[in-house]
Amino acid sequence: MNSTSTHFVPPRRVGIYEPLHQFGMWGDTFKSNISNEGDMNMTPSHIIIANNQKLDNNLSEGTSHGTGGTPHMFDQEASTSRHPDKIQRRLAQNREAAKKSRLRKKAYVQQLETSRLKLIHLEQELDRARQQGFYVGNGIDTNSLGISEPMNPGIAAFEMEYGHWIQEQNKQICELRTVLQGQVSDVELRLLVETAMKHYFDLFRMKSAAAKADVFFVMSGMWRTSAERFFLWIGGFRPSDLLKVLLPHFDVMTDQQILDVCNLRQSCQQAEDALSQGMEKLQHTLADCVAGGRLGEGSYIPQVNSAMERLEALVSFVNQADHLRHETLQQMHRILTTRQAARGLLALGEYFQRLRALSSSWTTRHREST
Amino acid sequence: MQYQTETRSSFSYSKVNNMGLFPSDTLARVESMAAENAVVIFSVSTCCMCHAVKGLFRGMGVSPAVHELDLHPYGVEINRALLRLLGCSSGASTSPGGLPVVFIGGKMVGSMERVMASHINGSLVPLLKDAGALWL
Repeated sequence: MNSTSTHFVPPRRVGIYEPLHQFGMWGDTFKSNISNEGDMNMTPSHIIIANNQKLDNNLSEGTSHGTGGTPHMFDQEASTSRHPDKIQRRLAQNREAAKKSRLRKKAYVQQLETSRLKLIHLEQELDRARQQGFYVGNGIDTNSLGISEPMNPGIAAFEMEYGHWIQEQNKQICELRTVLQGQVSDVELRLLVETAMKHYFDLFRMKSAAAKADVFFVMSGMWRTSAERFFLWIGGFRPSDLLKVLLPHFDVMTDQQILDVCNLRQSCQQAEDALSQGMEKLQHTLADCVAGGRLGEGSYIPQVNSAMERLEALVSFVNQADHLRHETLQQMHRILTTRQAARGLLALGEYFQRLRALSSSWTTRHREST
Repeated sequence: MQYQTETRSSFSYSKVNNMGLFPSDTLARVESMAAENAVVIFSVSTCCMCHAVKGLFRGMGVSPAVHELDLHPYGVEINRALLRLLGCSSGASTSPGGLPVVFIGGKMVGSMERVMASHINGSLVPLLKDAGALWL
């Protein structure tokens, strides 16, 4: 530090001078003694005036004048004669830096507090979800994953999010049903359709993140009910099934629509078949990889890496499958009118609801018989 | 088999011309390979997503020209060039290594995602017809 630091009088020694009191005193000193230059006592105040004005120009905080100045008043008396301006400037900068540092610390502490609260809240939710067996649909199904808690935080988060997704889905289906039974404007219907579409797209996004965390989990469909799992294709529903479910509900379609739907069915089936072929090849190559070398010898290390590489491809298949589902929904939306789309989404949502209900009926029936 | 060769006016050429980051002979090689056939697929023999895209075209009755880059003498440079082309025209592809990459009529369509999207939204078939890969 510089030489002036040794002249700093600690605030304690100031004693009589309270910051507010000091402020008042300076004010009086400015007013009454401004003309008196010869007086030794006044010299510091002149300098204080000059520098406080400087501070006023640079900064807008009022407190720094009072608190900052108090301990330094004595310092100025001692070393005023040497470099008054420099000292003042440096002191002002110090005050500034200290103030900024305090504000930063305050902001950081606040962030920590909110994060802490959020963490507690999340932990509570997780505990609650675990106790409930993740969510109603999967709760009754007994599977190895249901009993043991997933160690993977990404998967745990996904399962919780999926539980919320199902709840939201049920709400939307209810709303669509109510609205379609009565009279509703196209505008309102369009909004509902957009919301429902976006909800599906949200699911695909969630699944993509979960696939990165544990692709086997997504592929296994363990996060779905048993009946849904029966129809599983690369971690979700078959896009061609979607069309089969939707089409009977559109009684009146224009010629163009019929043509478009026909094309969509064909292209969807072709894309699905292509991905299925790719998956088959993946299974074959993985099996070859795992069976490579001599079995029964106990050494598998060199093949593990290439097998792992193959498994990475699984993530891209899951993503492409979801992408296909996304595009198929999108194209259906383009082909249909708003009203038809609403009816279609209702039918689709209800279809999955029925599958979930079937799953729980099956499980309870199974229980009753034993 | 009839096919169109569009070199000067092709999309990929004009995009790539602005870059000048990689040797022009690799670029020229990609160009000429892409112009050889109506449908050209750059693939890796062991990649399953590449297998899927080949299956897609064959299932539609199209016979694509396939270049297996892992078996090609200049495969590494071509792969790099393709990745750059992909990177500047779209987001990152979901397949590791960027392949497969599909060219139709000399113009780049993109990775599996782009191909599937264009098939579903109905733009792939007209593209194939224009390039002479499909007759109906």
